[in-house]
Amino acid sequence: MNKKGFSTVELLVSFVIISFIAIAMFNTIFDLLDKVEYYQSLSKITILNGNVINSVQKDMKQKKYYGSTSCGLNCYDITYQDLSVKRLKTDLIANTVQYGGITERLPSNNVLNGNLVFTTQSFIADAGNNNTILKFYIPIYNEMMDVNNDITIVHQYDSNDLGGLPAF
Amino acid sequence: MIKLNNKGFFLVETIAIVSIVAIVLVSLYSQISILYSNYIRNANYNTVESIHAVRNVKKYIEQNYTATLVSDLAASASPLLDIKSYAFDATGYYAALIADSNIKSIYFSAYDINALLTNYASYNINASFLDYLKTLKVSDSKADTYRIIIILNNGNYSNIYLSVADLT
Repeated sequence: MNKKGFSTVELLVSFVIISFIAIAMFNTIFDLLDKVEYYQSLSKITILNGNVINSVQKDMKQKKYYGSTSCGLNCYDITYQDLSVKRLKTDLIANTVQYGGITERLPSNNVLNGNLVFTTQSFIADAGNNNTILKFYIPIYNEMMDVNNDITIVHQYDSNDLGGLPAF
Repeated sequence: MIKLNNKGFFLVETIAIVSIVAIVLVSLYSQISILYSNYIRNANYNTVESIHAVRNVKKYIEQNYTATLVSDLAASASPLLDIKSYAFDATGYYAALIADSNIKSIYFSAYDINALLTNYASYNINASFLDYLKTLKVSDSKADTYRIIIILNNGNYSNIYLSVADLT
């Protein structure tokens, strides 16, 4: 008699054990896939936020802020003391953020969920000290993980220091 | 005469192999878990937003208040001075700067925080903050250098040096 192969009972037991393991692994693998997708998205939005913040802050520091004018909804033209102008704009429909000549689309699962907010607050300060706080705020929401990845740009400056230029 | 088929493995051999493979997989899993949790934790350290926020705080303090903080730290029983509620100015500038930058806590300390790490239990430091402070451990000391450490509302940490020598 040929005794190679497996008996039915052995096969059934093997299938049951393998299915238990597969079911246990499914949840773990789906969780891992979600987490991988989230952290990939998080690293992309972190890079975008960093680029926008660094670009604006670099110009604020090197070129010195002069003034801003609104160019429509969610749009500001920022003028620096070298009289260069750069546009900071968000587009809620296209889901993009623009600063100067660079426009970046938000990574998947991240949406602009509000208007671009620009505020300045002035205070009394000693001569030569900063007396104004400027803030740009871009609300960004991650739909998948229900968290906010907002862009906040805060800059301090002395509104009396216009580099010899007239009032804006 | 019955001829026995001796191909295959003993049950004991099978159990031994499965045990060894299980031990290897558990060790790998624990190492990967440690790597993963370190990555998640460090993703909150020194982000672009927190670096610019702490730089703004330093810019504010450097204007007028470094000497005050240095003397207050020297007189303080704690090596970590909580300066978020300091009444530096009566105009509300400091409070507005903190609010706009989404800062949750601000601390002022000496450059060398090793004593703080040794006796952290005495200073009411939570585990998450302690983990960050451990990354600031140094092996040298600088007498005229201090640190400003901030925690943002989103859980990001950052610190910056403040050198008294640079102000003279």
